[in-house]
Amino acid sequence: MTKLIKFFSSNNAYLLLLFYCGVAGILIKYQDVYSLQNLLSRGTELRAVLSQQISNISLYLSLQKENEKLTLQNSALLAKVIQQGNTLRESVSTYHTASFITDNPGSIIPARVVERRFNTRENLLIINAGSKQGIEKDMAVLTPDGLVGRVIQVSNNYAKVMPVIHSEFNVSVVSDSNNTHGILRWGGNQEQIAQMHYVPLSSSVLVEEKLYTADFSTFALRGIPVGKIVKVVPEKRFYRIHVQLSVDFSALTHVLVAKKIADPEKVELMRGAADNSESSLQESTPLN
Amino acid sequence: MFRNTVTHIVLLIALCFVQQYVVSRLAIFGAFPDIVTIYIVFAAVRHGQKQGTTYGFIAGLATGTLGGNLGIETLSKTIEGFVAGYFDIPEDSHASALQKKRRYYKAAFLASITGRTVYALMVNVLSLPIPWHIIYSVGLATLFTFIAAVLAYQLFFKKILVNN
Repeated sequence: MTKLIKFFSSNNAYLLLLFYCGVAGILIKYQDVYSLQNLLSRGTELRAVLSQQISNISLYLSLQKENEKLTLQNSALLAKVIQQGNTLRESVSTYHTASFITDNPGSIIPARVVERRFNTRENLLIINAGSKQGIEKDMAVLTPDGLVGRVIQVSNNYAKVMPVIHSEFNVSVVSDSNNTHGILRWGGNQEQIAQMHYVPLSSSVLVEEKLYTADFSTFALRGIPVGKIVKVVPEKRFYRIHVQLSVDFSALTHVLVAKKIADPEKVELMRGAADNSESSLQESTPLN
Repeated sequence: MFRNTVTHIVLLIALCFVQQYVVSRLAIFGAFPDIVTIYIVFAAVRHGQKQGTTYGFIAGLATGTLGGNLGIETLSKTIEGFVAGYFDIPEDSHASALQKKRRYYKAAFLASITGRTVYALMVNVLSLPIPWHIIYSVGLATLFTFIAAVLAYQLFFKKILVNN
């Protein structure tokens, strides 16, 4: 017993470190637990409130009201553009047109970017619209130029957005003229350039082709512009395709959140399919 | 003692806010100095390893809650406090001002590089190639933090540590 007490008293700094590291380990392992997420969303809220105060000053200088009025107009126009673009693409199929109408984004919520981080430790946006404004996790965030990202955390008045230029972001995309499908993922080298993956050599792709979000996406509405193809390199089995993103992330001030989330049944089904294919295929497409 | 601890904790939390809202906006090539680390180093050098580790843990919780990476921040900051604690200057130390300064600089450098390495091993949000990730997330961030630590020593900590 005396030896044990002596051991503890002589090594207590190590034991303390072990204890704290254990707590940190538990926090890492259970970071998706509801209560922890709740705490983090409160932290996000606090951080966003302060950030908003800071950004308000600069916004005031750049005619805040005028910008918000323009954003509202943009959101109305964007809804029309997406609808018309899709109708045009799908005009050959009445069935598809009808399904578009049911899938059509009833409304788009405008929001302002109150915090933007792009450094080696964080890469995210915080917008000033949260659950009170109807924002939910996994909604698509966009601008009239194209897709910005997806909502990953929501508090009462703010939401955290994972941008397209994040290493963990994936989205299903389709090219406009050849209808080639693939997964868009950002490789990290250049802010404006992402890569389109899983396009087999048998597919047709052209430089300058525009890419839109595909129907397969579990969070993004169909037909949101994503970017255009700037380079196509054939490799062993697939093409390596470089895509210039249509959104300038360095100049983002206002965004729109598409008020539609994927059908949970579809998500569940895709998740099941992904789990099954993971066991059989080594190279599987991630859920996007 | 109690008052001292409370003061350190309040200051640490205040610095976490400053770090989040001011310093992290000064990113150069994606890296920025970490003033929370500097304060943890100061506290560890002044009060010892156990206190340094505890302050690191508390600072990690605060930074993680504000930033979103609760577990990783807690782990890296705790380790920073522990590492810096190896260079503590006891109250009855007869070390010269130069020796104390060297101890503090060594603590700042090693704590920063250890903390950044732990963080970089777990997070690569910009999907940088590994060599660049190490250069930016560890090398450059450590360099900036060390420069800030030197400035902090000259402006604030010198009087306290030398007269300790």
